[in-house]
Amino acid sequence: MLVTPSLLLWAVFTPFVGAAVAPLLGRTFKAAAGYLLVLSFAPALALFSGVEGARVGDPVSATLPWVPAINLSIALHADGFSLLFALLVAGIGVLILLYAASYLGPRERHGRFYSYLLLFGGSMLGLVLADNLIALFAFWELTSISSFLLIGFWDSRRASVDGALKAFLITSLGGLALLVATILAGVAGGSFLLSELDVVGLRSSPLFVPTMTLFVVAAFTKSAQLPFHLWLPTAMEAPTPVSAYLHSATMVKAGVVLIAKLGIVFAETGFAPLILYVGLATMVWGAYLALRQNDLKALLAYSTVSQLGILMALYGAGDSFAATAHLVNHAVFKAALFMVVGIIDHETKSRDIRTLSGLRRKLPLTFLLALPAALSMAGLPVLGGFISKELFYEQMLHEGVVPIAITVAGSIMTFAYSLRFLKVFFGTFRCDNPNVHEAPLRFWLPAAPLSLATILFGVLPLGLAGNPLTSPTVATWFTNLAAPSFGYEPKALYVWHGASLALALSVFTWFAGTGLHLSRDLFHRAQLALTPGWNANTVYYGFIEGLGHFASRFTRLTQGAPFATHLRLIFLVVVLSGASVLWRYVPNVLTPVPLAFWVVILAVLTAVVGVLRARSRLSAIIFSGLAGIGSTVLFVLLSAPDLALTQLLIETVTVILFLSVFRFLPPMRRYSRAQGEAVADILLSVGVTATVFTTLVAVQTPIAERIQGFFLEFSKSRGGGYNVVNVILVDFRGYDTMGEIVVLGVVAVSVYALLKTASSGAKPTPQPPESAAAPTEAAPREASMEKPGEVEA
Amino acid sequence: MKFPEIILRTFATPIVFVLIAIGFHFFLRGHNAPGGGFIAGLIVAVSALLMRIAQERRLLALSPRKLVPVGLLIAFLTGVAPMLLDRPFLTSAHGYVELPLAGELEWSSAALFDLGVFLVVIGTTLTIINLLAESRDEPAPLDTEAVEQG
Repeated sequence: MLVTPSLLLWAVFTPFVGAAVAPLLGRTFKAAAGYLLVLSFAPALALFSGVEGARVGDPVSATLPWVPAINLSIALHADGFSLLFALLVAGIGVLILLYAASYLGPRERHGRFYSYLLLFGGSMLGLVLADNLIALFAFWELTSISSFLLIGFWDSRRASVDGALKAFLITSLGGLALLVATILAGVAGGSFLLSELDVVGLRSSPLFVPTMTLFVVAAFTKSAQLPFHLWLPTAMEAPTPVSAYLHSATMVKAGVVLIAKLGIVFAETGFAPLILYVGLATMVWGAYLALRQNDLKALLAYSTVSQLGILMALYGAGDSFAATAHLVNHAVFKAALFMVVGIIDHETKSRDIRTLSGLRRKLPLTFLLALPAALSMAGLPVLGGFISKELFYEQMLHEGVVPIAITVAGSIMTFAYSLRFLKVFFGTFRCDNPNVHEAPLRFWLPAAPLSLATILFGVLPLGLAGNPLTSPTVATWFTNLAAPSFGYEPKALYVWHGASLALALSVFTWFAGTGLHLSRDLFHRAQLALTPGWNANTVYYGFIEGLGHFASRFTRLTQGAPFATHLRLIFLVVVLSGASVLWRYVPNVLTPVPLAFWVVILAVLTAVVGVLRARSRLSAIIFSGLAGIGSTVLFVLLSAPDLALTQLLIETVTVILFLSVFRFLPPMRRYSRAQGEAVADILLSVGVTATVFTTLVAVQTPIAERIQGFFLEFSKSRGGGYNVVNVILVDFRGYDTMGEIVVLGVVAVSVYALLKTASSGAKPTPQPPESAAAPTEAAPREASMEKPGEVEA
Repeated sequence: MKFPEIILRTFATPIVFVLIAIGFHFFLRGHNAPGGGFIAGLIVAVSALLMRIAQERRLLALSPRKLVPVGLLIAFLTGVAPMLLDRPFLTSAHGYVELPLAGELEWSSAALFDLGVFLVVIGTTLTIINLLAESRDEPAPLDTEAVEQG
């Protein structure tokens, strides 16, 4: 079977369908809904049938019209790289769902969790398969939003909320950059389609540097590159299945994907070394920080920062072959390791490296899962991670002395923290919770394929035959899938690629890494001594705090004035802006007004004077009601029954509204005005009246052809109704009405929130019990995350 | 809010029924004569308020704020439906069906959209007024200082 365009669309949109039905399934099946929802990724997995086409450079495309009026569509393009990544997203997504079904406790909000998770997976599928930059931007933002919801899933915890907010603020900063970059690229490159982008035109355009800078900022924020890396470690506040997904195949890889897809645009410009060196700096800094973590999950989080640095550096250097190989390896071993941490956390109720050891005895299967994955991260043969690490070394040897020195330094620390991760399994058994059992089969089984894959990528010969050491491994197969996308020649991957300088450096790395691990106490003391007083986190929190101060000072400055002053300001702006337009064009169309109107107008005026002169608030309300009824009569006279009806009902509702807030208002008092104020106010009133009057007269002269004729003519034939007003509302201008009712809904929600918080403002907000919301999470995290700034430093 | 007025309390129920009937009439005829979802929504909201004021009873068993998302969803889905037939968002359709006994009946997809508007209007109006009427403790005192200065 070949991939058809419709399968491509289904691959992206089925997870969204899954997200829609997940709340219903969650209610019925609780955590087990995850087993059913696996089907959401079935179409994406079916894309597997397209790999042969993609390999020979014959990818499938699909287009779904989005806003045809401006020629905007959701264009998907399944070239080899996109297809490979989509399979990764879907494959790991399936395992994450299976894993989450065991991870989630019985009292979690299952439906909501699965719904967010599928939204996340679907957005990521859309992102990697998108050909249209605007669609890519939309999916990009969707991943930001869904990750915000997932990181803050346990919303009764401050650390989760803080982590979610931090991730959202930083990645939406990148989102804004991406939006502008997209528009610039579309203008300078002549197309919003990546596959049709005029690369030469874009590169020679003066817009090239700003465009690419913004693209790079977007990629760096999303993929947690220095100095935007700080959101990723706090994002580990998410439930562990989310972390496993977010750190391996989704979210953080989005920036890498963007850089990978733009490789051809920035190659051999100044941006290539920029990306290379930022990647390397992130790699070494992330590894350095990972070494100081005592929380297993935090160690993995910083490790992800570091590994993303490797991927960035490789795509920056233009070695898409090595980068793609490592991308897959990293996704596989990192997802497996996060799942292992989830199991340890679930069984021992702790993630603290200092209090855990010898878990191998109690959790032997979990240990078997962790061992190959962690060693693959360390880059030991014969695992998959070793092969891509070798490729990384070789490429950096080409780049020069400084890159390879940084690379080796970072890798030594990577090796050391991988050993530190494994340390919890060795030695004598020690754990605060003595009652530790191996996790049930259904819990660790989802991690098993990933762990197995780290071994198979290294030793399974392509075609399942031949000497495992000297034949190309299966990793060759998927790495070369991306060859047509990047235009590199398909190459083979071997575990044993002959003695080389890279191999010698690897051997050096293992010894130095082991040495570093053994002398960790010394190194740790040095790290503590070297800790600066500020870091990316202190800058971030300082900025957030400063923003709050600025906002409240600004508000006090601009909003502190008495109500009357505000009204005067508003009216002044009306007069000035009206006058500035009208003095150039004096309208001269005046239609005579029939006598009946004058009677009503007089009545309305009397009512208005009544409002002004009223001695009690009640009479003021009645007078304003009268003025409203007067305008209703005017609408009747102008033969606008719909408007008249609406006006009448609105007047009724307004009076009821007034009555309900009546008791909250302070007693009415007369305002005293100074002589000068009174004169100024009178002048202002006259000015506003004149402005409104001339404006109303001015619009009598049409500046374009009137469209009433169209409405009157087609109301029945196209809209199916004789009431033109209603047909306009629900049909011809249905979009406007849609917007208006959304506004109405937003108002209802806002008023609800405002009144609810205003009436409960004095009381302290009750904290939901932590244990009920999250039975799997242990105390150490609370302690360590209390001051988020301390994690890093 | 206890109203001793016996007349209001006695007649509220029939009046409310008539009002609701009028509301639905306005809703249904909206496409061809004055009326429509917005107006009908306001009429039903006002009759619910009358019921509340006169008899301290709720007209609707469910909380009105739930009507807002339901209404928005109906309106949105009416807009999305034509996209499945390859038409742009919110394309409307209308026609006639021959019903047994009742005769010819006109239908219009826009009426479904109008139903969304109808529900959102009821939901918003009632949510806000109910909340204001129910909040027992005084909200934050108004800035009396500013009032005096003004």
